[in-house]
Amino acid sequence: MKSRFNVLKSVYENTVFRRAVLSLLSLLGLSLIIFTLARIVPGDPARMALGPRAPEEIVQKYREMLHLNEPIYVQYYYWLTNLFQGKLGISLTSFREVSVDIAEFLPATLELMLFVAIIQIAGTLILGTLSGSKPGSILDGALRVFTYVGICVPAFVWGLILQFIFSYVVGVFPATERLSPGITVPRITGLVTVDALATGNFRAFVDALWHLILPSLALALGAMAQEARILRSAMVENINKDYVLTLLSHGIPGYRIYFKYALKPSVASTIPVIGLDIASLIANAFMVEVIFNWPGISKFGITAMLKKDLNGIVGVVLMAGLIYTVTNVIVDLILTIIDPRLRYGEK
Amino acid sequence: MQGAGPLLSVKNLYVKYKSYWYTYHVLDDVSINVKLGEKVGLIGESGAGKTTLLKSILRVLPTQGKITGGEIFYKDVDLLRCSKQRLLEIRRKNVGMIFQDPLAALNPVFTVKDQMLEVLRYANERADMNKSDLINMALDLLRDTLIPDPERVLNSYPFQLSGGMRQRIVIAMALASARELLLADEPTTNIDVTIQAQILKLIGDLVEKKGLSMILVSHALGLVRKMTDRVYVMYGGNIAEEAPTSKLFNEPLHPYMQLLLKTAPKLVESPLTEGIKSIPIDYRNPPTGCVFHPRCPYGDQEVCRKVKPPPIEVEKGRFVRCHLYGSGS
Ligand SMILES: Nc1ncnc2c1ncn2[C@@H]1O[C@H](COP(=O)(O)OP(=O)(O)O)[C@@H](O)[C@H]1O
Ligand SMILES: [Mg+2]
Repeated sequence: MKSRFNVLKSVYENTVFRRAVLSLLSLLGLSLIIFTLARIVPGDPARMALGPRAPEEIVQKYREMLHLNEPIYVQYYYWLTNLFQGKLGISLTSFREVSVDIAEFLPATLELMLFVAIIQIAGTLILGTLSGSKPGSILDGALRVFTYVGICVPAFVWGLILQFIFSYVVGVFPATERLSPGITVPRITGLVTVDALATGNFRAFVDALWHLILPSLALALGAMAQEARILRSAMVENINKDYVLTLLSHGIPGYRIYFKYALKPSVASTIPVIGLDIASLIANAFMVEVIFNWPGISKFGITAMLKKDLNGIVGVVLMAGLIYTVTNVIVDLILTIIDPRLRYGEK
Repeated sequence: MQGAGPLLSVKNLYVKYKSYWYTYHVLDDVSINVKLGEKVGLIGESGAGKTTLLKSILRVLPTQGKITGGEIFYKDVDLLRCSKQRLLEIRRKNVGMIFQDPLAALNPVFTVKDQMLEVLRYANERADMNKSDLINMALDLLRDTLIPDPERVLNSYPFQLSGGMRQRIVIAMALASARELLLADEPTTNIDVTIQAQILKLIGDLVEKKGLSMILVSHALGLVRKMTDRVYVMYGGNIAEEAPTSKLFNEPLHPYMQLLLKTAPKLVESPLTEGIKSIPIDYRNPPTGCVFHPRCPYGDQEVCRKVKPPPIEVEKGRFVRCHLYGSGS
């Protein structure tokens, strides 16, 4: 008996397993909260779905079909049993299964997130390291100004500025959509760049890349400036540590010291912020998706909220929760890879 | 040509730390030199500026630190004005420094191997060096510093090792670059008392074996007495006294040094920080005249309060900055 208990205990103590269980539980909790919230805010979903001129009996029928007249916990029970069959319910705006909608719109946003992540991480590491290793330099001052601007200017304004300059004035990058007219890519993953590469269509890949640059930049710039500042502070502190001065005293060139030996212990405070910023795009990309006519999930989510599309709201929020959870796991994983003290446990 | 000039000579060095609000005038007209093969001690309580002086020599001060005057010559190379490449060469192949705190001197997120190989790669720029050569060199250095099981240590992270072990690694790394001059900054301060003497003996033996010159900063006066030829006594960013080791300990001239010896009479391994009531100097606004006058038993004369004493050569090779011994001329 005892040994079996110990095995269970050790499985529980295995952090991966424990995290999975905890994540699942918190997602379930999240679903309960958002399910309830969506139903207690004012507004009649059935009426909104069918429009103001639909006859009352039909609306009534519709309510019954959606179990809207029953207590919330009964509704939740129906929703949960549905969920275990992999269904999130019918959207009241598209009249399709919500999971089908998500599958359609999510990849566009995921692709955007991927490129924002690449730009943001590369930019943060380079700017943060350069300005942090020479505090007070011209670049450092420029980054400071850029940060203040970055905090004040929201992503969609960046989007409009970039669109104006690079699409309308200079005309190098396309203003909207994911691909130029006439170029098509078969849908495999839904990430156009990946699908283009998978089918060997290099022209479409470049075209997709070109379309991604402006919206990704718009979403990346502001957050990148702030993240670079966080990295900068950590760098400024660490370049005076004896372990950096020691390498300096051995004649190791500056670029190797700063971009390797000072950077690695400095990034720990920046990584969780980058993770959160990128995960938050799932909802925050809305305005940019509108401006760039990007068929993403943010647009779908906001429409669901405005139209009180009950199943749509719950589905999108849950998916956002899932993305935050996954991001957290990735962030923790990276932190553990970077800091051996987390891996081996100090002392 | 060796033996002509000193190996290292620091002349009239001024170093400040600048923070946002204040300027700390730490080193104030400091001159020291080290001759080839000489072992020089540097003593003085915490905050005297010993670390600042050593870091200045290799130009590895923290960003707030600025050298504002003086010169530093390594042989005939002007370290404050030479090309960047020349400075890098000297850091790589001539001078090595053991930093004060072995816990702080090793990067916590890289293995010992990462750090040692990095250092060795640049200390031995030769086209035929490959990775296994470097590893063997690292292992040899670790063996030199009497580290048991060097393979395991090499693959460890610093936090997996004891303080004494880390200090040996720091010594091994310093030796990779110190082909001529070793700067040892309190190599025993932050490690277990029971192995302090052992570590100092190790350094002494290695310096002897490799024929190095050395500046040794230490609070262990007894060991400084045993291991050095000449000693500089620092107080408040000034060199208070300079003398051959035996003369200094037998007949200290500067009132500060006399106080030090009085409070550490046995001279075995007595740490000197605790000794006298230590009022840290406010470097933003250091005392006028002689920096030691507020604490000096003879410091109530007007000249001590007003005039900074010049170095006075009491006998050949013995200098003291104190008005008791005249006012120079
Ligand atoms: N980065 C810094 N900024 C301001 N003051 C500093 C800095 N580093 C050292 N100091 C000051 O310089 C003085 C001398 O320090 P240090 O050279 O470490 O002395 P020691 O090694 O003799 O103990 C101390 O008063 C210390 O507070
Ligand atoms: Mg010190």
